[in-house]
Amino acid sequence: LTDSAITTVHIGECIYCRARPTTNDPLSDEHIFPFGLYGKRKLAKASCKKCRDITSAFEGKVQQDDMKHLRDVIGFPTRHGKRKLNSTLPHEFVTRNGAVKSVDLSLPDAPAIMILPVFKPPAYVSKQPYDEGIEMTGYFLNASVTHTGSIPKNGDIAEVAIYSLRWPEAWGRMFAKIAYAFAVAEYGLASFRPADVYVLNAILGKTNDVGNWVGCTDERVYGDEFNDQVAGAWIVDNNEVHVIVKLFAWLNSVPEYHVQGVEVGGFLQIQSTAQSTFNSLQMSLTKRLSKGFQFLASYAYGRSIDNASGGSDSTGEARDTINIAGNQLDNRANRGLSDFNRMHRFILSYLWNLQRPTFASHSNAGRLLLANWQIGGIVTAMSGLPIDIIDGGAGSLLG
Amino acid sequence: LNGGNNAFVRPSWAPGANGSTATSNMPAGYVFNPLAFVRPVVLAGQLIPSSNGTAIANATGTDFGNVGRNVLRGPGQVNVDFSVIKRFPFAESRNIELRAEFFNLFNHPNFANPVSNLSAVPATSIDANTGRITGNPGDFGRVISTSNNPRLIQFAVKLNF
Repeated sequence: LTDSAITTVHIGECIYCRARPTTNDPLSDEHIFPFGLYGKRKLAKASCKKCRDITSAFEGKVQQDDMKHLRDVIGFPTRHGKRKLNSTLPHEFVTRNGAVKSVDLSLPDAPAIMILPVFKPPAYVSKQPYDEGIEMTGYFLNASVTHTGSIPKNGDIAEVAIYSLRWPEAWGRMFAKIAYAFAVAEYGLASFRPADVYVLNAILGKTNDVGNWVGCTDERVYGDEFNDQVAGAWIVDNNEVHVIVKLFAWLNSVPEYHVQGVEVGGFLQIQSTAQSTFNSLQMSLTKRLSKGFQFLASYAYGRSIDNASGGSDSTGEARDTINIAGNQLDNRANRGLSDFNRMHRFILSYLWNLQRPTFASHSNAGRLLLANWQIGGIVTAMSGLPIDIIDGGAGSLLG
Repeated sequence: LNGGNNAFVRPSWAPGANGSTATSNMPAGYVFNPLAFVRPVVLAGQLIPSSNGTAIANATGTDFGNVGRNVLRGPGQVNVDFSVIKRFPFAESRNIELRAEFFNLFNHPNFANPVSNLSAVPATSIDANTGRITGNPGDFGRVISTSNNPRLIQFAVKLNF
Protein backbone atom coordinates (compact mmCIF):
# COMPACT_ATOMS: atom_id res chain seq x y z
CA LEU A 1 0.00 0.00 0.00
CA THR A 2 1.64 3.19 -1.12
CA ASP A 3 0.56 6.76 -0.72
CA SER A 4 -0.08 7.09 -4.42
CA ALA A 5 -2.84 4.50 -4.15
CA ILE A 6 -4.73 6.64 -1.66
CA THR A 7 -7.46 8.92 -2.88
CA THR A 8 -8.23 12.06 -1.00
CA VAL A 9 -11.32 14.11 -0.27
CA HIS A 10 -10.49 17.54 1.04
CA ILE A 11 -12.45 18.63 4.09
CA GLY A 12 -10.60 21.40 5.93
CA GLU A 13 -12.35 21.15 9.28
CA CYS A 14 -12.52 18.55 12.00
CA ILE A 15 -15.37 16.22 11.06
CA TYR A 16 -15.99 15.43 14.74
CA CYS A 17 -15.93 18.78 16.52
CA ARG A 18 -15.87 21.10 13.47
CA ALA A 19 -12.71 22.79 14.71
CA ARG A 20 -10.97 24.87 12.08
CA PRO A 21 -7.27 24.56 11.38
CA THR A 22 -5.03 26.71 13.55
CA THR A 23 -1.30 27.26 13.56
CA ASN A 24 -1.01 24.96 16.56
CA ASP A 25 -3.18 22.30 15.04
CA PRO A 26 -3.33 22.38 11.26
CA LEU A 27 -5.59 19.28 11.40
CA SER A 28 -4.51 15.87 10.26
CA ASP A 29 -5.79 13.57 7.58
CA GLU A 30 -8.36 11.00 8.54
CA HIS A 31 -8.41 7.63 6.85
CA ILE A 32 -11.88 6.23 6.35
CA PHE A 33 -10.66 2.71 6.93
CA PRO A 34 -7.58 2.79 9.11
CA PHE A 35 -4.37 2.83 7.15
CA GLY A 36 -3.39 -0.36 8.93
CA LEU A 37 -6.46 -2.07 7.45
CA TYR A 38 -5.55 -1.11 3.91
CA GLY A 39 -7.62 2.09 3.96
CA LYS A 40 -7.23 3.60 0.52
CA ARG A 41 -9.36 6.67 0.87
CA LYS A 42 -8.80 9.51 3.22
CA LEU A 43 -10.29 12.83 4.23
CA ALA A 44 -7.63 15.52 4.09
CA LYS A 45 -7.38 17.94 7.00
CA ALA A 46 -10.30 16.35 8.77
CA SER A 47 -9.38 15.67 12.37
CA CYS A 48 -8.13 17.92 15.12
CA LYS A 49 -5.57 16.65 17.54
CA LYS A 50 -8.03 16.14 20.37
CA CYS A 51 -10.41 14.06 18.29
CA ARG A 52 -7.57 12.17 16.64
CA ASP A 53 -6.34 11.08 20.06
CA ILE A 54 -9.78 9.68 20.77
CA THR A 55 -10.19 7.85 17.48
CA SER A 56 -6.65 6.51 17.38
CA ALA A 57 -7.10 5.15 20.90
CA PHE A 58 -9.89 2.77 19.88
CA GLU A 59 -8.39 2.00 16.52
CA GLY A 60 -5.20 1.11 18.33
CA LYS A 61 -7.02 -1.30 20.60
CA VAL A 62 -8.44 -3.07 17.58
CA GLN A 63 -5.33 -3.15 15.48
CA GLN A 64 -2.53 -3.50 17.96
CA ASP A 65 -4.32 -5.75 20.38
CA ASP A 66 -7.24 -7.69 18.98
CA MET A 67 -5.74 -7.98 15.51
CA LYS A 68 -2.13 -8.15 16.52
CA HIS A 69 -1.74 -11.79 15.69
CA LEU A 70 -3.12 -11.47 12.19
CA ARG A 71 -1.23 -8.26 11.52
CA ASP A 72 2.02 -9.80 12.60
CA VAL A 73 1.53 -12.92 10.54
CA ILE A 74 0.37 -11.26 7.35
CA GLY A 75 2.25 -7.99 7.72
CA PHE A 76 -0.41 -5.35 7.48
CA PRO A 77 0.64 -1.88 6.48
CA THR A 78 1.90 0.24 9.30
CA ARG A 79 2.75 3.88 9.71
CA HIS A 80 5.50 3.04 12.12
CA GLY A 81 8.02 1.93 9.54
CA LYS A 82 9.25 -1.61 9.72
CA ARG A 83 8.09 -2.81 13.04
CA LYS A 84 10.50 -5.07 14.79
CA LEU A 85 8.68 -8.34 14.58
CA ASN A 86 9.56 -11.31 16.62
CA SER A 87 10.60 -14.08 14.32
CA THR A 88 8.30 -16.46 16.11
CA LEU A 89 4.83 -16.18 17.57
CA PRO A 90 3.61 -18.21 20.49
CA HIS A 91 0.59 -20.37 19.73
CA GLU A 92 -1.38 -22.50 22.09
CA PHE A 93 -2.71 -25.83 20.96
CA VAL A 94 -4.93 -28.27 22.73
CA THR A 95 -3.68 -31.80 22.34
CA ARG A 96 -5.85 -34.87 22.05
CA ASN A 97 -5.49 -35.67 25.69
CA GLY A 98 -6.70 -32.19 26.66
CA ALA A 99 -3.43 -30.66 27.62
CA VAL A 100 -2.55 -27.16 26.46
CA LYS A 101 0.73 -26.93 24.71
CA SER A 102 2.51 -23.76 23.77
CA VAL A 103 4.46 -23.84 20.57
CA ASP A 104 6.48 -21.06 19.06
CA LEU A 105 5.90 -21.00 15.33
CA SER A 106 8.01 -18.98 12.96
CA LEU A 107 6.08 -16.32 11.09
CA PRO A 108 5.95 -18.10 7.74
CA ASP A 109 4.68 -21.20 9.46
CA ALA A 110 2.10 -19.54 11.68
CA PRO A 111 -1.53 -19.95 10.69
CA ALA A 112 -3.29 -16.72 9.79
CA ILE A 113 -6.43 -16.77 11.85
CA MET A 114 -8.79 -13.92 11.38
CA ILE A 115 -11.23 -13.18 14.15
CA LEU A 116 -13.94 -10.62 13.65
CA PRO A 117 -16.69 -9.84 16.11
CA VAL A 118 -20.32 -10.52 15.26
CA PHE A 119 -22.71 -8.13 16.92
CA LYS A 120 -26.42 -7.97 17.48
CA PRO A 121 -28.23 -5.77 14.97
CA PRO A 122 -28.15 -2.07 15.81
CA ALA A 123 -30.82 -1.55 18.45
CA TYR A 124 -31.99 1.60 16.71
CA VAL A 125 -32.81 -0.41 13.60
CA SER A 126 -34.04 -3.62 15.20
CA LYS A 127 -36.10 -1.66 17.76
CA GLN A 128 -34.98 -4.11 20.39
CA PRO A 129 -34.69 -3.02 23.99
CA TYR A 130 -31.29 -1.52 24.47
CA ASP A 131 -29.37 -0.47 27.50
CA GLU A 132 -25.78 0.39 26.72
CA GLY A 133 -22.56 -0.90 25.22
CA ILE A 134 -22.46 -3.32 22.34
CA GLU A 135 -23.32 -6.99 22.54
CA MET A 136 -21.45 -9.66 20.64
CA THR A 137 -23.30 -12.75 19.53
CA GLY A 138 -20.26 -14.62 18.33
CA TYR A 139 -17.09 -14.58 16.34
CA PHE A 140 -16.32 -14.85 12.71
CA LEU A 141 -13.32 -17.09 12.31
CA ASN A 142 -11.38 -17.65 9.18
CA ALA A 143 -8.17 -19.53 8.92
CA SER A 144 -8.10 -19.66 5.15
CA VAL A 145 -6.51 -16.28 4.72
CA THR A 146 -3.94 -16.69 2.02
CA HIS A 147 -0.75 -17.39 3.80
CA THR A 148 1.91 -20.00 3.74
CA GLY A 149 1.37 -21.07 7.30
CA SER A 150 -1.21 -23.49 8.55
CA ILE A 151 -2.27 -25.31 11.63
CA PRO A 152 0.42 -27.95 12.17
CA LYS A 153 -0.66 -31.33 10.86
CA ASN A 154 0.44 -33.00 13.94
CA GLY A 155 -1.60 -36.01 14.97
CA ASP A 156 -1.30 -34.86 18.48
CA ILE A 157 -3.22 -31.59 18.05
CA ALA A 158 -6.96 -31.45 18.46
CA GLU A 159 -7.75 -27.74 18.71
CA VAL A 160 -6.12 -24.39 18.36
CA ALA A 161 -6.69 -22.08 21.29
CA ILE A 162 -7.89 -18.72 20.17
CA TYR A 163 -8.11 -15.75 22.38
CA SER A 164 -11.36 -13.91 22.52
CA LEU A 165 -11.54 -10.34 21.37
CA ARG A 166 -10.87 -7.99 24.19
CA TRP A 167 -12.33 -4.78 22.85
CA PRO A 168 -15.74 -5.25 21.24
CA GLU A 169 -16.69 -1.71 22.11
CA ALA A 170 -13.56 -0.38 20.37
CA TRP A 171 -14.52 -2.41 17.30
CA GLY A 172 -17.99 -0.91 17.38
CA ARG A 173 -16.65 2.60 17.66
CA MET A 174 -14.21 1.94 14.86
CA PHE A 175 -17.03 0.82 12.59
CA ALA A 176 -19.03 3.86 13.56
CA LYS A 177 -16.09 6.08 12.73
CA ILE A 178 -15.54 4.34 9.40
CA ALA A 179 -19.20 4.74 8.56
CA TYR A 180 -19.33 8.39 9.51
CA ALA A 181 -16.12 9.25 7.67
CA PHE A 182 -17.42 7.36 4.65
CA ALA A 183 -20.71 9.22 4.75
CA VAL A 184 -18.82 12.51 4.94
CA ALA A 185 -16.77 11.54 1.89
CA GLU A 186 -19.92 10.56 0.01
CA TYR A 187 -22.27 13.38 0.92
CA GLY A 188 -20.01 16.19 2.13
CA LEU A 189 -19.60 17.47 5.63
CA ALA A 190 -22.08 20.28 5.04
CA SER A 191 -24.85 17.70 4.76
CA PHE A 192 -24.49 16.78 8.39
CA ARG A 193 -25.43 19.08 11.18
CA PRO A 194 -23.46 18.07 14.26
CA ALA A 195 -26.60 17.60 16.34
CA ASP A 196 -28.01 15.20 13.76
CA VAL A 197 -25.06 12.85 13.79
CA TYR A 198 -26.41 10.69 16.58
CA VAL A 199 -23.53 8.28 16.35
CA LEU A 200 -20.97 11.02 16.95
CA ASN A 201 -21.19 10.86 20.72
CA ALA A 202 -20.53 7.14 20.59
CA ILE A 203 -17.51 7.65 18.35
CA LEU A 204 -16.07 10.24 20.68
CA GLY A 205 -16.89 8.15 23.72
CA LYS A 206 -19.20 10.76 25.22
CA THR A 207 -21.94 8.19 25.48
CA ASN A 208 -21.79 4.44 25.81
CA ASP A 209 -24.42 3.66 23.20
CA VAL A 210 -22.46 2.37 20.25
CA GLY A 211 -24.63 -0.77 20.11
CA ASN A 212 -27.61 1.43 19.40
CA TRP A 213 -26.11 2.41 16.07
CA VAL A 214 -23.70 -0.35 15.12
CA GLY A 215 -24.35 -4.02 14.62
CA CYS A 216 -24.56 -6.95 12.25
CA THR A 217 -27.64 -8.24 10.56
CA ASP A 218 -28.27 -11.88 9.94
CA GLU A 219 -27.69 -11.80 6.25
CA ARG A 220 -24.19 -12.36 5.08
CA VAL A 221 -23.44 -10.98 1.72
CA TYR A 222 -20.78 -13.02 0.05
CA GLY A 223 -17.67 -11.19 -0.89
CA ASP A 224 -17.11 -10.44 -4.51
CA GLU A 225 -14.05 -9.37 -6.31
CA PHE A 226 -13.28 -6.56 -3.93
CA ASN A 227 -9.76 -6.69 -2.85
CA ASP A 228 -10.08 -5.14 0.52
CA GLN A 229 -12.40 -3.14 2.67
CA VAL A 230 -15.68 -1.90 1.27
CA ALA A 231 -18.37 0.40 2.48
CA GLY A 232 -21.63 1.53 0.99
CA ALA A 233 -23.94 4.24 2.14
CA TRP A 234 -27.42 5.22 1.26
CA ILE A 235 -30.16 7.33 2.67
CA VAL A 236 -33.14 5.60 4.16
CA ASP A 237 -36.39 6.98 5.52
CA ASN A 238 -36.24 10.16 7.55
CA ASN A 239 -33.04 11.27 5.83
CA GLU A 240 -30.97 8.81 7.78
CA VAL A 241 -27.79 7.49 6.31
CA HIS A 242 -27.23 3.79 6.56
CA VAL A 243 -23.70 2.58 5.99
CA ILE A 244 -22.53 -0.98 5.51
CA VAL A 245 -18.93 -1.71 6.28
CA LYS A 246 -17.10 -4.89 5.43
CA LEU A 247 -13.57 -5.75 6.36
CA PHE A 248 -11.73 -8.18 4.11
CA ALA A 249 -14.63 -8.29 1.73
CA TRP A 250 -12.88 -10.75 -0.53
CA LEU A 251 -13.42 -13.43 2.07
CA ASN A 252 -16.61 -15.35 1.81
CA SER A 253 -19.28 -14.59 4.27
CA VAL A 254 -17.53 -11.99 6.39
CA PRO A 255 -19.87 -10.14 8.71
CA GLU A 256 -21.39 -6.93 7.51
CA TYR A 257 -21.35 -4.13 9.98
CA HIS A 258 -24.37 -1.89 9.71
CA VAL A 259 -24.13 1.59 11.07
CA GLN A 260 -27.01 3.93 11.33
CA GLY A 261 -27.50 7.12 13.19
CA VAL A 262 -26.02 9.63 10.85
CA GLU A 263 -28.71 11.96 9.74
CA VAL A 264 -28.43 14.14 6.72
CA GLY A 265 -29.60 17.63 7.46
CA GLY A 266 -30.69 18.08 3.86
CA PHE A 267 -28.67 19.12 0.90
CA LEU A 268 -28.19 22.76 0.23
CA GLN A 269 -28.05 23.84 -3.34
CA ILE A 270 -27.29 27.47 -3.83
CA GLN A 271 -28.62 28.89 -7.04
CA SER A 272 -28.41 32.40 -8.33
CA THR A 273 -31.80 32.30 -9.97
CA ALA A 274 -33.81 34.85 -8.09
CA GLN A 275 -35.51 37.59 -10.07
CA SER A 276 -37.34 40.61 -8.86
CA THR A 277 -39.28 43.53 -10.23
CA PHE A 278 -40.45 46.60 -8.42
CA ASN A 279 -42.93 49.14 -9.70
CA SER A 280 -44.01 52.08 -7.70
CA LEU A 281 -45.63 55.47 -7.71
CA GLN A 282 -43.93 57.78 -5.26
CA MET A 283 -45.13 61.21 -4.22
CA SER A 284 -43.77 63.60 -1.73
CA LEU A 285 -44.80 66.99 -0.52
CA THR A 286 -42.31 69.22 1.26
CA LYS A 287 -42.91 72.46 3.02
CA ARG A 288 -39.71 74.23 3.84
CA LEU A 289 -39.43 76.13 7.05
CA SER A 290 -41.57 79.25 6.94
CA LYS A 291 -43.53 80.85 9.72
CA GLY A 292 -41.94 78.28 11.97
CA PHE A 293 -43.47 75.28 10.24
CA GLN A 294 -42.03 72.62 8.04
CA PHE A 295 -43.11 69.17 7.00
CA LEU A 296 -42.33 66.37 4.63
CA ALA A 297 -45.04 64.00 3.53
CA SER A 298 -44.34 61.07 1.30
CA TYR A 299 -46.49 58.35 -0.10
CA ALA A 300 -45.52 55.35 -2.15
CA TYR A 301 -47.75 52.90 -3.91
CA GLY A 302 -45.60 49.97 -4.82
CA ARG A 303 -45.55 46.40 -5.81
CA SER A 304 -42.46 44.26 -5.56
CA ILE A 305 -42.56 40.82 -7.11
CA ASP A 306 -39.86 38.20 -6.91
CA ASN A 307 -39.27 34.52 -6.44
CA ALA A 308 -37.08 34.85 -3.35
CA SER A 309 -36.60 37.81 -1.06
CA GLY A 310 -33.47 36.86 0.76
CA GLY A 311 -33.78 36.53 4.46
CA SER A 312 -32.11 37.09 7.73
CA ASP A 313 -30.21 34.74 9.92
CA SER A 314 -30.78 34.17 13.61
CA THR A 315 -28.95 37.36 14.49
CA GLY A 316 -31.15 39.37 12.15
CA GLU A 317 -28.39 40.03 9.67
CA ALA A 318 -29.43 40.00 6.07
CA ARG A 319 -28.08 37.13 4.07
CA ASP A 320 -28.20 36.19 0.47
CA THR A 321 -29.61 32.72 0.68
CA ILE A 322 -33.04 31.60 1.72
CA ASN A 323 -34.76 28.28 1.71
CA ILE A 324 -37.07 27.90 -1.23
CA ALA A 325 -40.48 26.52 -0.39
CA GLY A 326 -42.54 24.28 -2.52
CA ASN A 327 -41.53 22.91 -5.86
CA GLN A 328 -37.86 23.59 -6.21
CA LEU A 329 -37.78 22.37 -9.75
CA ASP A 330 -40.12 25.12 -10.82
CA ASN A 331 -38.68 28.59 -10.36
CA ARG A 332 -41.95 30.24 -11.21
CA ALA A 333 -43.77 28.39 -8.47
CA ASN A 334 -42.38 30.83 -5.95
CA ARG A 335 -43.12 33.95 -7.93
CA GLY A 336 -45.22 36.26 -5.83
CA LEU A 337 -45.20 39.40 -3.79
CA SER A 338 -41.90 40.04 -2.07
CA ASP A 339 -41.74 39.29 1.61
CA PHE A 340 -41.14 42.99 2.25
CA ASN A 341 -43.80 44.30 -0.12
CA ARG A 342 -46.04 47.03 1.25
CA MET A 343 -48.60 48.32 -1.16
CA HIS A 344 -49.21 51.64 0.57
CA ARG A 345 -46.72 53.50 2.63
CA PHE A 346 -47.33 56.98 3.98
CA ILE A 347 -44.96 58.95 6.18
CA LEU A 348 -45.42 62.47 7.51
CA SER A 349 -42.81 64.24 9.54
CA TYR A 350 -43.23 67.76 10.80
CA LEU A 351 -41.64 70.35 13.03
CA TRP A 352 -43.46 73.40 14.28
CA ASN A 353 -41.87 76.28 16.17
CA LEU A 354 -44.78 77.66 18.13
CA GLN A 355 -45.21 81.38 17.98
CA ARG A 356 -44.92 83.24 21.21
CA PRO A 357 -48.33 84.55 22.14
CA THR A 358 -48.36 88.37 22.00
CA PHE A 359 -49.32 88.79 25.65
CA ALA A 360 -46.26 86.81 26.70
CA SER A 361 -43.90 89.60 25.79
CA HIS A 362 -45.35 91.74 28.55
CA SER A 363 -43.47 89.98 31.31
CA ASN A 364 -40.15 88.27 31.84
CA ALA A 365 -41.91 85.17 33.12
CA GLY A 366 -44.06 85.06 30.03
CA ARG A 367 -41.04 85.43 27.76
CA LEU A 368 -39.23 82.73 29.68
CA LEU A 369 -42.02 80.19 29.90
CA LEU A 370 -44.11 80.71 26.81
CA ALA A 371 -41.49 81.33 24.15
CA ASN A 372 -39.37 78.82 22.27
CA TRP A 373 -41.73 75.90 22.24
CA GLN A 374 -41.48 73.38 19.46
CA ILE A 375 -43.48 70.32 18.58
CA GLY A 376 -42.61 67.65 16.09
CA GLY A 377 -43.48 64.16 15.17
CA ILE A 378 -43.63 61.38 12.68
CA VAL A 379 -46.76 59.61 11.53
CA THR A 380 -46.40 56.34 9.69
CA ALA A 381 -49.18 54.34 8.14
CA MET A 382 -48.62 51.41 5.83
CA SER A 383 -50.07 48.22 4.56
CA GLY A 384 -49.25 44.93 6.24
CA LEU A 385 -46.61 42.56 5.02
CA PRO A 386 -47.63 39.55 2.97
CA ILE A 387 -48.52 36.36 4.78
CA ASP A 388 -46.89 33.26 3.40
CA ILE A 389 -49.00 30.25 4.22
CA ILE A 390 -46.83 27.20 4.75
CA ASP A 391 -47.34 23.73 6.09
CA GLY A 392 -44.43 22.42 8.13
CA GLY A 393 -46.25 19.11 8.49
CA ALA A 394 -46.51 18.34 4.81
CA GLY A 395 -44.05 17.26 2.16
CA SER A 396 -43.48 13.77 3.56
CA LEU A 397 -43.41 12.28 0.06
CA LEU A 398 -40.58 14.58 -0.91
CA GLY A 399 -38.00 13.02 1.35
CA LEU B 1 -36.00 19.02 -0.97
CA ASN B 2 -36.04 20.19 2.57
CA GLY B 3 -34.80 23.40 4.03
CA GLY B 4 -32.75 22.24 6.91
CA ASN B 5 -34.69 19.49 8.50
CA ASN B 6 -38.04 21.17 8.27
CA ALA B 7 -40.07 20.41 5.24
CA PHE B 8 -40.78 23.80 3.81
CA VAL B 9 -43.80 23.43 1.63
CA ARG B 10 -47.14 25.14 1.25
CA PRO B 11 -50.61 23.68 1.72
CA SER B 12 -53.32 23.44 -0.90
CA TRP B 13 -56.43 25.53 -1.29
CA ALA B 14 -59.52 23.84 0.01
CA PRO B 15 -61.90 23.12 -2.87
CA GLY B 16 -63.34 26.44 -4.06
CA ALA B 17 -61.19 28.55 -1.78
CA ASN B 18 -58.97 31.41 -2.92
CA GLY B 19 -57.40 34.54 -1.54
CA SER B 20 -60.67 36.41 -1.20
CA THR B 21 -62.66 33.59 0.38
CA ALA B 22 -59.78 33.04 2.77
CA THR B 23 -60.22 36.58 4.05
CA SER B 24 -63.97 36.52 4.35
CA ASN B 25 -66.11 34.58 6.81
CA MET B 26 -63.26 34.37 9.24
CA PRO B 27 -64.05 32.70 12.54
CA ALA B 28 -63.92 35.19 15.39
CA GLY B 29 -60.35 35.86 16.42
CA TYR B 30 -58.79 34.83 13.10
CA VAL B 31 -57.18 37.08 10.51
CA PHE B 32 -57.79 34.61 7.73
CA ASN B 33 -59.99 31.59 7.44
CA PRO B 34 -57.90 28.56 8.35
CA LEU B 35 -60.44 26.28 6.68
CA ALA B 36 -59.45 27.71 3.30
CA PHE B 37 -56.30 25.60 3.45
CA VAL B 38 -55.88 21.85 3.43
CA ARG B 39 -52.88 19.64 3.91
CA PRO B 40 -51.86 18.21 0.51
CA VAL B 41 -52.50 14.56 1.31
CA VAL B 42 -51.81 11.90 -1.31
CA LEU B 43 -53.41 8.56 -0.49
CA ALA B 44 -51.55 5.31 -1.00
CA GLY B 45 -51.79 4.26 -4.62
CA GLN B 46 -52.58 7.73 -5.92
CA LEU B 47 -50.43 9.66 -8.32
CA ILE B 48 -48.16 12.18 -6.66
CA PRO B 49 -49.13 15.46 -8.31
CA SER B 50 -45.69 17.05 -8.14
CA SER B 51 -44.13 14.12 -9.97
CA ASN B 52 -46.06 15.05 -13.13
CA GLY B 53 -47.67 11.66 -13.18
CA THR B 54 -44.48 9.67 -12.90
CA ALA B 55 -44.77 8.42 -9.34
CA ILE B 56 -47.38 6.74 -7.22
CA ALA B 57 -47.38 6.97 -3.46
CA ASN B 58 -46.72 3.58 -1.90
CA ALA B 59 -48.11 4.83 1.39
CA THR B 60 -50.26 7.78 2.30
CA GLY B 61 -48.13 10.89 2.49
CA THR B 62 -48.10 14.58 1.77
CA ASP B 63 -46.95 16.49 -1.29
CA PHE B 64 -46.59 20.19 -1.69
CA GLY B 65 -49.75 22.14 -2.26
CA ASN B 66 -50.98 24.63 -4.80
CA VAL B 67 -51.10 27.75 -2.65
CA GLY B 68 -48.79 30.40 -4.05
CA ARG B 69 -46.26 32.45 -2.22
CA ASN B 70 -47.38 35.40 -0.09
CA VAL B 71 -51.01 35.12 -1.09
CA LEU B 72 -52.49 37.00 1.85
CA ARG B 73 -51.73 40.34 3.40
CA GLY B 74 -51.14 40.95 7.07
CA PRO B 75 -52.62 43.68 9.23
CA GLY B 76 -51.78 47.31 8.39
CA GLN B 77 -49.40 49.24 10.56
CA VAL B 78 -49.95 52.73 12.01
CA ASN B 79 -47.60 54.57 14.28
CA VAL B 80 -47.52 58.12 15.63
CA ASP B 81 -44.46 59.59 17.27
CA PHE B 82 -44.72 63.02 18.88
CA SER B 83 -42.38 65.32 20.70
CA VAL B 84 -42.60 68.61 22.59
CA ILE B 85 -39.50 70.71 23.00
CA LYS B 86 -38.94 73.78 25.13
CA ARG B 87 -35.73 75.76 24.69
CA PHE B 88 -34.19 78.18 27.19
CA PRO B 89 -31.65 80.41 25.43
CA PHE B 90 -29.12 81.85 27.86
CA ALA B 91 -26.29 83.19 25.77
CA GLU B 92 -25.60 84.23 22.24
CA SER B 93 -25.65 80.72 20.83
CA ARG B 94 -26.33 78.50 23.78
CA ASN B 95 -29.51 77.05 25.06
CA ILE B 96 -30.87 74.31 27.26
CA GLU B 97 -33.49 72.13 25.73
CA LEU B 98 -36.13 70.13 27.60
CA ARG B 99 -37.58 67.43 25.43
CA ALA B 100 -40.52 65.13 25.97
CA GLU B 101 -40.76 62.45 23.30
CA PHE B 102 -43.64 60.07 22.89
CA PHE B 103 -43.15 57.00 20.75
CA ASN B 104 -46.40 55.36 19.77
CA LEU B 105 -48.28 58.30 21.28
CA PHE B 106 -51.70 56.64 21.21
CA ASN B 107 -50.42 53.29 22.45
CA HIS B 108 -51.90 51.79 19.31
CA PRO B 109 -51.15 48.10 18.96
CA ASN B 110 -49.92 46.98 15.57
CA PHE B 111 -50.60 43.34 15.10
CA ALA B 112 -47.90 41.13 13.71
CA ASN B 113 -48.65 38.69 10.94
CA PRO B 114 -50.68 35.71 12.12
CA VAL B 115 -49.40 32.19 12.58
CA SER B 116 -49.18 31.01 9.00
CA ASN B 117 -47.93 27.48 9.44
CA LEU B 118 -50.65 24.89 9.02
CA SER B 119 -48.72 22.59 11.33
CA ALA B 120 -49.96 24.83 14.16
CA VAL B 121 -53.29 23.07 13.73
CA PRO B 122 -53.50 20.20 16.22
CA ALA B 123 -52.98 16.90 14.41
CA THR B 124 -56.28 15.66 15.76
CA SER B 125 -58.07 18.46 13.91
CA ILE B 126 -56.81 17.38 10.49
CA ASP B 127 -58.56 14.66 8.55
CA ALA B 128 -55.83 12.21 7.64
CA ASN B 129 -57.46 11.27 4.36
CA THR B 130 -58.50 14.64 2.98
CA GLY B 131 -56.11 16.96 4.80
CA ARG B 132 -59.04 19.19 5.71
CA ILE B 133 -59.22 20.96 9.02
CA THR B 134 -62.20 19.39 10.70
CA GLY B 135 -61.74 20.51 14.29
CA ASN B 136 -60.30 23.40 16.19
CA PRO B 137 -57.69 25.06 13.96
CA GLY B 138 -55.55 26.11 16.90
CA ASP B 139 -53.45 29.20 16.34
CA PHE B 140 -53.28 28.81 12.56
CA GLY B 141 -54.63 32.16 11.33
CA ARG B 142 -54.47 33.88 14.68
CA VAL B 143 -52.36 36.86 15.54
CA ILE B 144 -50.41 36.04 18.65
CA SER B 145 -48.00 38.96 18.86
CA THR B 146 -47.66 42.64 18.12
CA SER B 147 -45.03 44.10 15.87
CA ASN B 148 -44.38 47.33 17.74
CA ASN B 149 -43.60 48.63 21.18
CA PRO B 150 -46.21 50.03 23.53
CA ARG B 151 -46.13 53.77 24.21
CA LEU B 152 -42.71 54.86 25.32
CA ILE B 153 -42.14 58.29 26.83
CA GLN B 154 -38.67 59.72 27.01
CA PHE B 155 -37.64 62.91 28.77
CA ALA B 156 -34.35 64.56 28.00
CA VAL B 157 -32.37 67.66 28.83
CA LYS B 158 -29.96 68.91 26.21
CA LEU B 159 -27.37 71.60 26.42
CA ASN B 160 -26.67 73.01 22.98
CA PHE B 161 -23.54 75.05 22.54
